[in-house]
Amino acid sequence: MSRMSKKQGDMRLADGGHINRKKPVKFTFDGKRLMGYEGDTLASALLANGIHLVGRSFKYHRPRGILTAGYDEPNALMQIGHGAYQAPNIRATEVSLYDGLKAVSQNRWPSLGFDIGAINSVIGRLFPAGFYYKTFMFPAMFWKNIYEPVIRRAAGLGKAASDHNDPDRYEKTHRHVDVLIVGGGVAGLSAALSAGRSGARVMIVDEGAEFGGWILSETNTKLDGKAASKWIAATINELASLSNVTMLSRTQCFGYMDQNFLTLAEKISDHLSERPAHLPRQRLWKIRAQQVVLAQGVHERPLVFGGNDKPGVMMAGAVRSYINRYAVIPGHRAVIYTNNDDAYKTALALHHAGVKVAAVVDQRPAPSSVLVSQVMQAGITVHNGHAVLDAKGTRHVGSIKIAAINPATGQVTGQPFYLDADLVAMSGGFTPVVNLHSQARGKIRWDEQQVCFRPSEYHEAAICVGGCNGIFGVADAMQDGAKAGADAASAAGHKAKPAALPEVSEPDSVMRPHVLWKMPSDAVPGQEPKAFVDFQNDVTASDIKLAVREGYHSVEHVKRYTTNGMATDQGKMSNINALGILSDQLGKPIPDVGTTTFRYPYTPTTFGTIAGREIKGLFDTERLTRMDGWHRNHNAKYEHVGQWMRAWYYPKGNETMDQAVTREVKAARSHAGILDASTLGKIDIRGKDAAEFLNRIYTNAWTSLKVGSCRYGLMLKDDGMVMDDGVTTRLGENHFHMTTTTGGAAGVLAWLEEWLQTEWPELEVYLTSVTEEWSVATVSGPNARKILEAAGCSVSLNDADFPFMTFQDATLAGLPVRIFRISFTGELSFEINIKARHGLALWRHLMQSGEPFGLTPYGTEAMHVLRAEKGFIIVGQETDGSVNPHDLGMSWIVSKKKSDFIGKRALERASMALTNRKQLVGLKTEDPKVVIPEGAHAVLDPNQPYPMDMLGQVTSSYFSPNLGHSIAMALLKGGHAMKGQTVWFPMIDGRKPIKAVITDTVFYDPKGDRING
Amino acid sequence: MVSSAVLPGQSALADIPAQSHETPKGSPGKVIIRDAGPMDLINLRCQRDNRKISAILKKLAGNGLAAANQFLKSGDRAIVCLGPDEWLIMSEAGTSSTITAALETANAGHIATTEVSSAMGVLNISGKACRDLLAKHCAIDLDRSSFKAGDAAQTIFGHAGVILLANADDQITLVGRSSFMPYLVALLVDSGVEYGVEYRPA
Repeated sequence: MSRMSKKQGDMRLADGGHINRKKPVKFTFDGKRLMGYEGDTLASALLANGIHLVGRSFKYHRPRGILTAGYDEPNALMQIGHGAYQAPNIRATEVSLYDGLKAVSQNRWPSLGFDIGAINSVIGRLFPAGFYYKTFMFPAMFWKNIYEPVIRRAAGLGKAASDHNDPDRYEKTHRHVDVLIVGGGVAGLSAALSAGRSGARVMIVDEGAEFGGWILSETNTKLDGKAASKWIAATINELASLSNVTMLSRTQCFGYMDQNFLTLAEKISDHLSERPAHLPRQRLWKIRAQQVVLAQGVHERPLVFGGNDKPGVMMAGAVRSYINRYAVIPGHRAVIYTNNDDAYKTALALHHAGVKVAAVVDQRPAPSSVLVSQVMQAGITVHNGHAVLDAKGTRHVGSIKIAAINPATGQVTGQPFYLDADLVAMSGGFTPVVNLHSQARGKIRWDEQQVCFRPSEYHEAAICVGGCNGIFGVADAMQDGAKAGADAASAAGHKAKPAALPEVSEPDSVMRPHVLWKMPSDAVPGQEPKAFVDFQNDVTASDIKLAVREGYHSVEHVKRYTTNGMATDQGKMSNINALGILSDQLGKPIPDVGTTTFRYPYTPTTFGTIAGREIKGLFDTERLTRMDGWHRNHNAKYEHVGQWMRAWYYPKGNETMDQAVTREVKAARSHAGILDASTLGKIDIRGKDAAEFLNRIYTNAWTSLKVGSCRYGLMLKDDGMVMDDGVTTRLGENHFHMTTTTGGAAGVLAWLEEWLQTEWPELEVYLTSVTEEWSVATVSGPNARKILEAAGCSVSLNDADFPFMTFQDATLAGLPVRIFRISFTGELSFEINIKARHGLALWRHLMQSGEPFGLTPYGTEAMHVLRAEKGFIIVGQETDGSVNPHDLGMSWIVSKKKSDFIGKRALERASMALTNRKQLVGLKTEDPKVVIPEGAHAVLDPNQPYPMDMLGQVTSSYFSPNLGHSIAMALLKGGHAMKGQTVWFPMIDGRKPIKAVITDTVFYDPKGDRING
Repeated sequence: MVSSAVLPGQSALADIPAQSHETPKGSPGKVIIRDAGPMDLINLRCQRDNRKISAILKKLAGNGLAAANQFLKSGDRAIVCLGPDEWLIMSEAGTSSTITAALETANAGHIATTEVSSAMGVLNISGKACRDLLAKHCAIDLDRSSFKAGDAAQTIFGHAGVILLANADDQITLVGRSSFMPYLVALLVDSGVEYGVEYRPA
């Protein structure tokens, strides 16, 4: 008697299941309006509506149906949602049904029922393994423009939303726990009870919508004499009441990295028809666990036979799950095909649900157990020692061809016969989920008895329990879990003992699968029907055999050649079958064949979850100076310098960048300019050995520097190459103020601390970063002195009282300041430092005081031009880590007297003084208006054949408004000896080569007269 | 040594406006982020066993040199351990010069005091969800059983280095560098959307 409900979907049972029949849910599939219930997955709701055909396969476009009831599903991948919210390749078996859900099948054109690409299936013999490699080889240029786009259109999975601005919110978070339990089945829950009761910080996660795992799909397993769901509910209640336990459902652990760092993807609002704006759609959890308990259970293996991919062929466990958990029957007339006892439970479940079970086809010669007897007592025919040879049907299985076989060799021994069936429930054994264990560098060994890989050695503080430890019985799995939970909590420093467990009653069954890797077939060799191993990548048993024949014997080679296990399911269903076939073909046992690597991520994870909120404005920090408000109000254009946002130039009205920079550069030389230099790194150096410390850090001498004086210094790495530069000032006998480049500040401080802490602990020196403590405004130009006087400077600024390269404490309009008379423009220049809280006030005050004197704010671009006119280098622009002071023409700054400084030994190597090293020179173009692109390469003869002999490259290049011609600096081989010679710069865009003459690097005011105004 | 106490000046948080997201249903409660307002900060470097410094600090701030990963608070003054030989002294605005002078003139050997009042911004974060909020962009263990009242940490929030001080289960102080404050406030407020959040300028 069928227990069908007539109301909703033909295939829904009138009662039972974990669905809420009071809450019908509307959804659409390929535009068709359908109904399901709250608690359904998309897959169960489709099946309830009698829909099996849900997609087309990747390569052959074969019709595909729902195969599983979990995240191992290879076929039922859907496009879910609409507009910008849609996401491709979502497993229908994992999607909780919600009102208004829109699902669209993938990889079919023009429609699911009729698909033009299905011709690939008919001519499939022309597409064997390695087809792409063999066919699309020549000509090479065709690959990018012709072959690849066509192949991608024909094959491939879903499409990303055309609107790339994903409107969903994604977040990430961190959590430290004592014990992380991955998997919320009975083993995981038992572990959580033991660990949770000890007070340890426990987190238990499960990918399902509810905890309980596989047992939710069983009806004949009782805990303490009651339905398992009762014990599960009580356990969940207890765990939820413990404040030290965090439970996350709909959460997949997809990565297991070193030192028990694991990543989880939690689906928070995927299953809601209205996603609340304040909640993320998904959250990435980054877990640091003291101990990890993996309780991920098993994956059921398919059996390999002709047509095993047809809609209507399903995993036996999944069929049971649909009946018991969702009250859905996936067919009216079923055949069970198995090599173990577990599928007999499915036969009984189908029978009790009123489905006609035509037969059980068992590969084993003589199965015998309570379950087998129960099935036979129910009047179901059992064909021992038989195999399914082929499943027939176009868009759905309609009949199957079976025959008696020799169970040891797979040879067909009996006359094949046909059975009508619209459902084939298959079970090829069980694969413990060792994927995460293996990701964490745990080892596995082949268990001959259970015919599966089991965890053997651990690399991390972790333990696998229950099914994923190869323990298939419920009672044993629970005990395994309870003990592991207690052990893990104890190892994390808590007093724990294994939780008392309920009495388990479950039918005795033989889970060990019969081993038969050869596919039984009565077809002429080479004409066998397609029997799929990897459903998602359309890899057949013949493909693997072909690969072996063609010489691919390593498991890693076979994987890549056939693409077996390389789809988004990463071979969850296919790996063991592929290994079995391979071992059979090679005549080697499976342990000798080996396994492929289990890679991150365990399941596909959206990019949104990985990116989190680090997008747009929060992608990275933008550091702002305290004068930033003024720049913004005065139309500054910005450039990134490290993480800083610096004013680049200040266009007035409709000025172009060139016009603005020209105006700013001219003003700084004719009147005065002001620059926000706050971003320069500043380090306060204190201690009686401070001068000695600087002596060792910089190439020049520091002990002789007078208090109140400033000195320019060059810092080398220990390889003798320039690392950083800046002006350092002696504020007191044992007190210095160092400046560094903007981008180098943090690196220099760390570098100096490293030397102090590891090499020179005897030096009494303390360093403190004061980059942010001081705001800096540089006033530069002939009117600089007048402007500071007008601003109310408390000290005399004339050359005698305040010479170049000195420093004074002063006040400016009553505000205390440090004034440094140093110059990066070659003009009379004062660098005014003020406590940053007054930075903006200082800037405004200077702008006001300077107005009558033509004070013009200039940005970093004008600063670059001004310093280039003077031939001043910028570390990181003229240098790249391979440039030493001699190369820069700065031998004058390298002390010959000092016994040591960082880089000295390297710098004294003969090769560092070779005359053919790349050396810094100036360039003047023949056409004064032409600016050589930075990065352009110099050659002596632009007409020489390719590849040309290159001398070096341009490091800085600008049009100098003050000189009226373009200027450039370049690093050229042997450049110092080439002054006056002509070089050429070929242009990549086909323009004529640019002709230039090598000059000195100082273009403007070579005598340095302007420094005094 | 010049003093910055002449004028109050402008805090690093001065330009950041008040902002809030409402408290949604089911939230453990709104998280409040407050600009802690003007205060003085001194970076102190000395050896941990410097007894003279400890004694002066006890007199001036109620406590000696805090132990590793700890801070000691007395009234408005706190001493935060930043490293094996580095501390941050937090005090009311306008008091740093007195404290610095006392430390510098004690003849206490190899020490360095550096005023960093302008270099930092200080935020007080409170609410039941404040630790969960911070955990979104901070990798250290912020659980109340691990980061207890009196604990201090130098760590990273998002892309910015910060100092975190656990005042109580539901109250944490965040000290960040001035130039990062607009970013830090934006990231903190964004992280609070699911609980309800409010940023209150001083």
